[in-house]
Amino acid sequence: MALFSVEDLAVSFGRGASRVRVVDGVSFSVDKGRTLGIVGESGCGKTVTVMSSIRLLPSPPSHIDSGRLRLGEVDLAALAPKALRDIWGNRIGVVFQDPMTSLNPTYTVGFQLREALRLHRRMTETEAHAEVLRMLDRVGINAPERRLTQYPHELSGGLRQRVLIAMALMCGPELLIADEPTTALDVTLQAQILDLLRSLRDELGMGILLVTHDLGVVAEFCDQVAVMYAGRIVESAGVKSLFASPRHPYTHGLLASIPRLTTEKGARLAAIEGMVPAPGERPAGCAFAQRCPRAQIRCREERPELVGDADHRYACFHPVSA
Amino acid sequence: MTRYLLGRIAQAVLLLIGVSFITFLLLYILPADPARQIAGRSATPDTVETIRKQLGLDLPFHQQYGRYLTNLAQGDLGRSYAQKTEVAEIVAARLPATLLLMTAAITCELIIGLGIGIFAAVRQGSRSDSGAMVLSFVGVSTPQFVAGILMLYVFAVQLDWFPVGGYGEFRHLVLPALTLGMLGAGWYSRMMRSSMIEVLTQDYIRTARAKGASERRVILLHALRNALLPIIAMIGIDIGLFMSGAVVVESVFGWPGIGQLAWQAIQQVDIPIIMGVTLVAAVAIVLGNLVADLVAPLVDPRIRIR
Repeated sequence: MALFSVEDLAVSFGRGASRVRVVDGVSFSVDKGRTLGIVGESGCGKTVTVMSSIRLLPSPPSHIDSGRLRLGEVDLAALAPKALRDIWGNRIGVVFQDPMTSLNPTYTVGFQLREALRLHRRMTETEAHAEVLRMLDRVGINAPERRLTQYPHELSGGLRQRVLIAMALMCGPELLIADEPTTALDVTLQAQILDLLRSLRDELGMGILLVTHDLGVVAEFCDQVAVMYAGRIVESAGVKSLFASPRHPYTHGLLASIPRLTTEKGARLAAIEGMVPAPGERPAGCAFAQRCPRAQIRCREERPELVGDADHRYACFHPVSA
Repeated sequence: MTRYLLGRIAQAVLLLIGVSFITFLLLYILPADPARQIAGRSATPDTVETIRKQLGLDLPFHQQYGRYLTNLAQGDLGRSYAQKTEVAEIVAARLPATLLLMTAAITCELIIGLGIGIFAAVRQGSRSDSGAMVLSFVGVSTPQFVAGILMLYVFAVQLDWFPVGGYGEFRHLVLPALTLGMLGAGWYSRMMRSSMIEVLTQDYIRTARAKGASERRVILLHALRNALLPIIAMIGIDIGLFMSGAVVVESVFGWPGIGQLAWQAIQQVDIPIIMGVTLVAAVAIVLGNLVADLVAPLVDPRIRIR
């Protein structure tokens, strides 16, 4: 059984006539010890999907219209706020995108780490202190003792991201949500952080749900991939299968737009023409049809559902041949 | 730190010289004649003239001011025209009452203002938010003499909960402190609300929620400390507002502080007292701002005193 599974999630924003469906009919699951990557360009709804899937998105303005959100035996969708707080930070850890702004500037690193632990575990100050030091050491922070009394602004970006990872892992969660954890870091740090996440995943056996727009990160780090476009999953597959034979024209376009060393200098980079339709302006048919080189009349009139076998699913009437 | 403090003291001295000059000039230009005030209505022109000479009021402005400044530099604030005693003594005797009133008023405005501000921010956009903001608007826009008289009428005359005036016990303090604190409470609640709303959108608030912190903990521990910064700077400025407020409130409630003293001195054209109170007020403002600057780094470690 999957560790975390989301079925038919729909999220909207606003109220009354201005209410707009942002995420629709999204299903995915994360297995123990595995990583699911959710990819898509900015504004496709990947962060909304992931944050609402654990109900961390404040409501209002967001509203979960439908969805079963199962973590093990519990349905997060049915939980009261108090019960959710017992799960957040405890069974689910979250690492956010921007390490520069995700730590509270007015408290020491040590305070914030101990807090993560003591919100869920009954232990003395001394025990918490020892546990925090052990975790900081585990995420590769040297001189951890000294870091505890420092404030976030005294640490570099890479260190802050390690602190945030340590914070998310303090209670040994089953599921780690990482929302673009490396986007704000430079390339060498990206690799280090991904390596760290991978080894922690293998050691602790947790499932990871990774949000990214970086296909390189996906190829490197994920087992499963779900590609999102305009609030829906348009293709999902094992990482090898997806990179080897993308079926949805959007995925195909994304992969084709990665610049290669063999691309001639000065040559125009491949890109997908046009713009993502804004939520609320999404067409009746396939949302990608306006930009799709393979689109036919049917694509504009009818929305394709996910088809294919369990290993590789895609929402397209005229898929790229395997 | 020492250098910083020395700089601040130098600034303060310059400021005090400026304040004393402007006040002195205004009092000089004033058409009222202190010599005539002292001599009384039935005095002969000769008597008035003698008094004027005695006090040095016949001298040109620059000599009068020069003399005042020289005495001031030696710590001599002069003698009251009306009470014939040292200004320093009179002010010192009145100061504790005003300090007590101010402390109580600051406490009132912080508790009421921050409370209402946090309450409104957390319920942003709701009816209770609008209600709280209307209330704060009333606080900001009611003149203090009106608020004071209303308080007296309702709580002292009609309900008889508190005495009409007086000094010495806690029950005497409540109404004047509330009246003086109301204006600030109005300002603070608005500032706190907007500051809190701003802070609540920050990424680290989301981090705190993701840890499983309760909403109360998120607001009172993670958000409040960050939201307080603009308020702390405001408290420094506030001391100045308090000084002008104290004149009105102390007169309405018969509170024996330096505000009431200033009011009486203005009516009697008692120039040395007016100068003395003005300078004490200026010192209070300088100290208030200094304290605000020194407290800010304790709340936000990113702020360093250079």
